[in-house]
Amino acid sequence: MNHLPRSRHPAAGFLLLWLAGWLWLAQHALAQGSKPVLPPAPQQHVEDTAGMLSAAARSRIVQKLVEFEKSDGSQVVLWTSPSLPAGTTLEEHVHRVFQEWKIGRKGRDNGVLFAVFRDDRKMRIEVGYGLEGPLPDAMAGRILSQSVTPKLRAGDTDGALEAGIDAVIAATRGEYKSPGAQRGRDLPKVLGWVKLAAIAGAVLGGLARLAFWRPFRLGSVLAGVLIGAAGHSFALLFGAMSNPAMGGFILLFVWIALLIRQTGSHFSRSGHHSWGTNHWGGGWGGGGRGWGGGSGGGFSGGGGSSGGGGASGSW
Amino acid sequence: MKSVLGIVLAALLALVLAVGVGGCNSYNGLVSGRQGVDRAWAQVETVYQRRADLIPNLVSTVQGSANFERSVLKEVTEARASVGQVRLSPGSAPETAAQLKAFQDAQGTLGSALSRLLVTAEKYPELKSTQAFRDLQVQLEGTENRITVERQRFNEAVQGYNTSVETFPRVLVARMFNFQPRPYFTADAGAAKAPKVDFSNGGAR
Repeated sequence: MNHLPRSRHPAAGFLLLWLAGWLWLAQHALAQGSKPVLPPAPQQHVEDTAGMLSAAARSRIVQKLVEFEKSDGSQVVLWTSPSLPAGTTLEEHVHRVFQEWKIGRKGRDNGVLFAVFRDDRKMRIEVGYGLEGPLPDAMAGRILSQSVTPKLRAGDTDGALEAGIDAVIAATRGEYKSPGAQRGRDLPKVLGWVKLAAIAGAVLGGLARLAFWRPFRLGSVLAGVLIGAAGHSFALLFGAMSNPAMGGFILLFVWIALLIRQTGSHFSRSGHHSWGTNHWGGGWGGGGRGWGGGSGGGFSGGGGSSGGGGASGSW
Repeated sequence: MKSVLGIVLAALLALVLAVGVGGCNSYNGLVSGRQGVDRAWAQVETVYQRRADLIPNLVSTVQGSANFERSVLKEVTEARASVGQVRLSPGSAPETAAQLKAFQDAQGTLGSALSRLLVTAEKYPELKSTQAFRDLQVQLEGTENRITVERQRFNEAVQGYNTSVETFPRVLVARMFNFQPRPYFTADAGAAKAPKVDFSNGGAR
């Protein structure tokens, strides 16, 4: 019934083409992701690059921030750095790092970055869009000038940074309660996967039928193309994948399928039918989270954004 | 023979469909690009408005300080008024470079009037030491920073949109449906220079 040695061949062709498609998409995503050098996102809520904190204070602050994120959903990160890179300003650099680390949940933008530059004696509290209400610039400015600066001047670095974090937490708490505090996959990302699955499933499903129906029928070709196009339109409904190359992609699939039909492979219908739709799940993995989060209590940026709110200070 | 005809037909159909899908795709991409530009513009307007909203408070705080230079205050209030006179189509980013320039010039005048005010305030230690003034100063710095951020985001949105309007294959669809490139913000004249502090009439108080 099954002439496997011969029928493997077109299947392998499909698979190759399909993988090439994913490679192309992945490359596309990578090309968009490349940016100038910024410090990589930290694994914990405290990134003490400049070594300003004692071990005890560090773990105390980490614990506070982890608990705060669990209870309120907001992400606060404390970052110390030896000095500002040449050619940047405090505001510019801190903002770029905030965006790079994606502090706060996507859509809520409930993140705060408290950055301290040891040798420049400069610091900044950068506030995500979503916390500009409970933590306005003037309040961030007061936290720096009243809670942090006096202690830094007195040489009490641990106390200064902890007081700053306490004040930031106190400011955001109460006024901001996140309904879904637990860490979940972002909705847009899930939609993206659904979209890709829809395309892959529809196109491959259509092609599988097309390739495995023995008598050539225009109807089956049509069905394949329409299913593919419908899948794509469906995907467009979900937004972003607006790439004209995708149309060409579908065309290419159909064309190859036709060629395979033409060379006359001997497929039997049974058993193979589910191949196209079952397999897509394994094709890509990893997801977009570059730093893969820490286990239990680590920091992992949630896609938050800042509009440059907050305040700067020096001591 | 019949199957060859079928294949040709199917291929043509696939081609038509692909072009159609690609075309709709391009069109949708252009529309969402243009909406992205308009959204970014709305943010730009919001942050500039935020700065304008701070001014009455700033003026009244500063006025409380004895013999503060009236000319500096007048300059700020006048610049703020002239900002309100720049008329742009609501809900959409400027479509011509001239419109954007008018907006940018008016805001630039207000920005430099404000920084002059802050520089002048350096001469009034008792004003500077009030919490109200310090809060206002932080808020002004914050809005200036937000303005920088949102202008940059706007320019990025415009850049992406303009690229898609002007490159193949979307340029075909863009021509067909009259999608025009949008103007950018340019660097403010003298933005790179730090404000000059004039101590010539030092000790004015």
